[in-house]
Amino acid sequence: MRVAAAARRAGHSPRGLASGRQRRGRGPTPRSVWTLWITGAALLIAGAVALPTALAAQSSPLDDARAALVRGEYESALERLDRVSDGGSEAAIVRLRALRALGRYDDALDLLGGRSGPAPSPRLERWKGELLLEVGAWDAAEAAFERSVAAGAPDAALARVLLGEQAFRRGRWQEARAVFDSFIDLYNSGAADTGAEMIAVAHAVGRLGRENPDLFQDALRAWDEAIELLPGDPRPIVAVGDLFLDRYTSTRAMEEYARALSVNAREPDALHGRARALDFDGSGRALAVANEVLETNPNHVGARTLLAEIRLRAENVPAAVEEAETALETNPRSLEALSVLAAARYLAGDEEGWIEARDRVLALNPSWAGLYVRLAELSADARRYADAVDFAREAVARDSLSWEGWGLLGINQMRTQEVVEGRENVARAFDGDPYNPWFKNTLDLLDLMDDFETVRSENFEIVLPPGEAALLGPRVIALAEEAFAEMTERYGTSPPTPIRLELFPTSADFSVRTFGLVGLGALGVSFGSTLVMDSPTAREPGDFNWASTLWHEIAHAFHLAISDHAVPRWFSEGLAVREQRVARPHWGFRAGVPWLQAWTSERMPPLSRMNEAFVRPAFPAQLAFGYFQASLAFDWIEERWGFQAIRDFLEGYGRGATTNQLTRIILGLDDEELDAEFQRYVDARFESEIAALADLAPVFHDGPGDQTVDAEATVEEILEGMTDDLDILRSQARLSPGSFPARLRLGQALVRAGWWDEAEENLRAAQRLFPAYPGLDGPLAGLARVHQARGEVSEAAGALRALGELNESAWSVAVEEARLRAELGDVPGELRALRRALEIHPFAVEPQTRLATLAGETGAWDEAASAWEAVVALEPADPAQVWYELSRARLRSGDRAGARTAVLRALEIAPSFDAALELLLEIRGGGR
Amino acid sequence: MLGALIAPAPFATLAAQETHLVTVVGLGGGPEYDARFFGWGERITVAARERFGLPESSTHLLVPDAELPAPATATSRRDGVEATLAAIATDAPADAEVLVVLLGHGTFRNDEARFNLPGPDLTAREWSLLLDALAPRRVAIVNAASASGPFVQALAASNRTVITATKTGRQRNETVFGGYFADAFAGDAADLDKDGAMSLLEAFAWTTAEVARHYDEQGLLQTENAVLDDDGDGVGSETPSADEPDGAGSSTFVFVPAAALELPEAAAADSVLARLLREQAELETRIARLRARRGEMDPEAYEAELEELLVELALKNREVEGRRGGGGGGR
Repeated sequence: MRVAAAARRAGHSPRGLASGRQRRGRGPTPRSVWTLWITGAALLIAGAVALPTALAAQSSPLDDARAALVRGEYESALERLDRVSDGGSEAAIVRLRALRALGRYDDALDLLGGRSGPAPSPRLERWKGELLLEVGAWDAAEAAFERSVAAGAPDAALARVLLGEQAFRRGRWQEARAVFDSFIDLYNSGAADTGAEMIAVAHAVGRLGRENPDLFQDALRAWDEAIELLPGDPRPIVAVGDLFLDRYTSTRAMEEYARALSVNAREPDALHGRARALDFDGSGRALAVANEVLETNPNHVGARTLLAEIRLRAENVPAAVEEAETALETNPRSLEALSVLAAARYLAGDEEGWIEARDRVLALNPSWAGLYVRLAELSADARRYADAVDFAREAVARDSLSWEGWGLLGINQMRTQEVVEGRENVARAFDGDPYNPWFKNTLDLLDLMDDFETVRSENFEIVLPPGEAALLGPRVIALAEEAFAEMTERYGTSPPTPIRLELFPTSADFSVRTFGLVGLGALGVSFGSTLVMDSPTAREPGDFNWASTLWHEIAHAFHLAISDHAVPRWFSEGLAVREQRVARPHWGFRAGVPWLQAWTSERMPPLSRMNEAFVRPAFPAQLAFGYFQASLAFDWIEERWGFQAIRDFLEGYGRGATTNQLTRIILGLDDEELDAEFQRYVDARFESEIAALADLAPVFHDGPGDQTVDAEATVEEILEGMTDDLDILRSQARLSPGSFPARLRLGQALVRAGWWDEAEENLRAAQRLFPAYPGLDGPLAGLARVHQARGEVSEAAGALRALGELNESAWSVAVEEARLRAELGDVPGELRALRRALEIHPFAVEPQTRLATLAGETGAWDEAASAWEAVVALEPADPAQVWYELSRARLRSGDRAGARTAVLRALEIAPSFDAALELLLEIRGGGR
Repeated sequence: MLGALIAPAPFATLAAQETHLVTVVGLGGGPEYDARFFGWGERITVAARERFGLPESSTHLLVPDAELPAPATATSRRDGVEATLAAIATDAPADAEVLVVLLGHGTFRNDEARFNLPGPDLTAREWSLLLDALAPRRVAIVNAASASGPFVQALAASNRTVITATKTGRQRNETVFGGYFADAFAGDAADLDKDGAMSLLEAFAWTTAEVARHYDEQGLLQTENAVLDDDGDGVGSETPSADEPDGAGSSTFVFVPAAALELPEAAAADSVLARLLREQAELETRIARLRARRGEMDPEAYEAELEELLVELALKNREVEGRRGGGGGGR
């Protein structure tokens, strides 16, 4: 596929900027220009600061104003210009730039004769046109550009490229392309000598990149030359940042914006670029930086639109609408702001409003794919994948060069089980935009997935990595069907089937499948009836419990189906965690120390605003805490109002109701009452744990948004580096006998020192204070060590069993318990522990072999056969023996045909295997 | 690969062969390693004597400890190694087989690999000279030490199998190969084709699978990749096979449990039993031929034919057992 794409790209028009073109008097290579320019600018500023008196004596007020402008001291620049008696057009341009940076567009236009009519001089027409574009006066702007071109103004090239840009924004791509194309000739003939001309070339070539992505490289080269020609001008630097960001390279983009901002920290377009890059990276700081833009320029339409998008993704529709409408007050023809407004209204269920906004966009530009691209993106963010497909389809129907549209179409088709068509569309998108990492990663992954195996059951289609199907397939099917049956009964309905479940052998692959890039920290994702998750092989044993994760994702499929994909994320995640606990009491995230501290220090949002922790967490751990905290809400709701209330919520979301409305109707509580009552419930439920942690050092160090807190940090990790001195620890425990950390720390230190009896006393006290502490450093682990040291194997095994009940991923605990049970000769106990270990990580030869053997010995031949099948799949060192054991187990469990197949496999490897030959005769009834 | 591990050598020919085992435990450098390496060597030596019936006089365990804890026979200082091998070179018949196993640490510096002994080490080149002195006997050497890879090129020769725990001299981390190789000797699991005997090729395949599993289950990057060379070209293979250049030789270097050797001995005195064993061998040959044609056959037809032959073989086994008086332990 990639070969075909490359070939198609090779067929693109060969037109582009000539390479190796000699430019007069140009020394440095393009990329080194940055250093020179920044150094020069920095020197200028440093000089002004170091020698104020001397400079003041020599410089004119216009020079001072220009210097102030460069530094971003726009108000000061304007004041200084007031003292310039006759600065001509130079002074006028400095004033226009300052006013524009401050968002005082009409003040600037007043200097140019108002919104209509010509500017005072042809040289100012292009400026006037650009200002008119800021306020959406398209016709007047185009007239100004035309006057600039007709008069042969020094910057007429810029005016001409902006006329091309206007043709593009009005949906007249052929006309725009002809204009942009002419700039390639301008450059290649060596006639683009001025900064304005080079900006025009760079802009034009960048636009042509949508047809030929190779031209983005040429655009970058032209912007470099523009920077060289326009030292001190931030615009080309910001444009380079934008070019990188639009090509998905946010790190490089950030570097460019930082360079511009190092000279002028208030530069609105550079700040806007930084905010976009932060948003691109998913950083919560994007919001603050976008607001920083507005402090300088409250009418910055780009910043307002970005804020609207951020609000919308946070599911704060009213705030999004308000931001978009504010942007449109400044520029009623902003296609971007109108697109977000349409999307916001659509997601709010405002049918009339969204159509009105849509029609406004399409009246301006019937080919504006951006409207539908935005709708598709936001629909996908809101988990409305079928809507996303429809919108993306509309985007590409209106503009076949919308690679974003093709990509969104393909990716969302794959989420809605249109895998083949989806793949074709992602390939088409990559063809047009080979820089896009989502497209590339997705296609690479799909190539990899060609070797995956598919197994099917009544309600599921399960796609597994090669080599894992034999072991995992039956286990996944059994669990998935169990979950489906139980939840169908619980919810009274079921999602559309088959549910497609894809498991990936690396977290990176799962991450790419989910959102196109590596680095997603989640374990599983539900797109409705398509579920995607890590295979147990994707992580180390003990990192996660795949079975619990699978149950969680299947719960989402139910929630999304019942709510018609309108359930808010906090609701579905919290309810899915509760479903894990309902299914198996040891499953699901538990209340650890960090969450309790976040709760008591009010770092978690109240229940009425729980979604904030999911869509824009204040600190990374807040998201993990959100899952648990939200799950408590469903414990509470189900206990108090019954499960029907939860079903009513889901159905209510499906009818378009908000959480606030549903809370009033179903629970009879307003937000304030909801938050207060939930607070009381949680405080009461964790009263003893909260009291027992009162004197523990906080895990949060740097304010409310600590970025470094580990959601699952243990007491040992929190107190790492603290004293191990027994006398001090004894004294602390004496002073605070009700302190969990004090008793636990002392108990742990006593275990290390071998003071078993005193250790037991303190560990038992710690256990009473925080009975459900899930950390593997907890009192139960310490008690297990104490008992083992004393030779009390049964008690040690008991402590480990209890610990395993509190931690769904405690692989090593289960394995150790199994070992101890074997030592005790406790076969049922060992079997139970082995099952628990293998539930966490089934890809382990030794526990599977032991389980198979024990199950056979106890006559549990079905289980023995299943475990031997797992061992076979794990490619044991002695396969003939394992096939033989499998055959025996199958025969004993009544599967004569399966036994025959297995014994033939054994004998194929080892034809002289006497026991297997005898088994073959037994399978055949004693002989021929 | 597993299908090509079958050793075609009939036990009758093996019974008459004399095998010498020389297990050299190198310098551990600390009590933990000393105990571990000695434990491996002890297991191999005891298995050779008790399981495979080799006499004490031909099972040599050389250890660093001068007090020679049982079942050690000599020290593993350079002179102890040289004397042991020289005695075999002098006394053993020309058709004897010699297996040398090195357990301990190895080093690779200045393009020279060494096996660490108490006192002066022996370099790969020096080991080569010592083994050359054993000609024309068939020799196999297993170097289970770290950085043992260069031994393959240095020791490669015709009629010689060289197994190293690492592929190169740069794999310097502590190895676990020796422990699993000892397990292969001590247990039945490495008899992968279940013919009652264990070839060096089978021991190698089983050990390397266990080493891979060890690293996988520990969540560690595998830092040792064992290789085997038995075609004398000095290039080891990680996946040798009886039908590949590397693997054919080691598939016939076989250790047979003492009990299994009773059968060929009985056949020599009983013509009916001898006929049954011939028929049994013919059936095994037909099965091997059928398996070779598997790729060209319809899977169902293949399976049916295989099953019929296996049933015949199973019944033939019963006849053999009946003739022997139901003594069990057919092979």
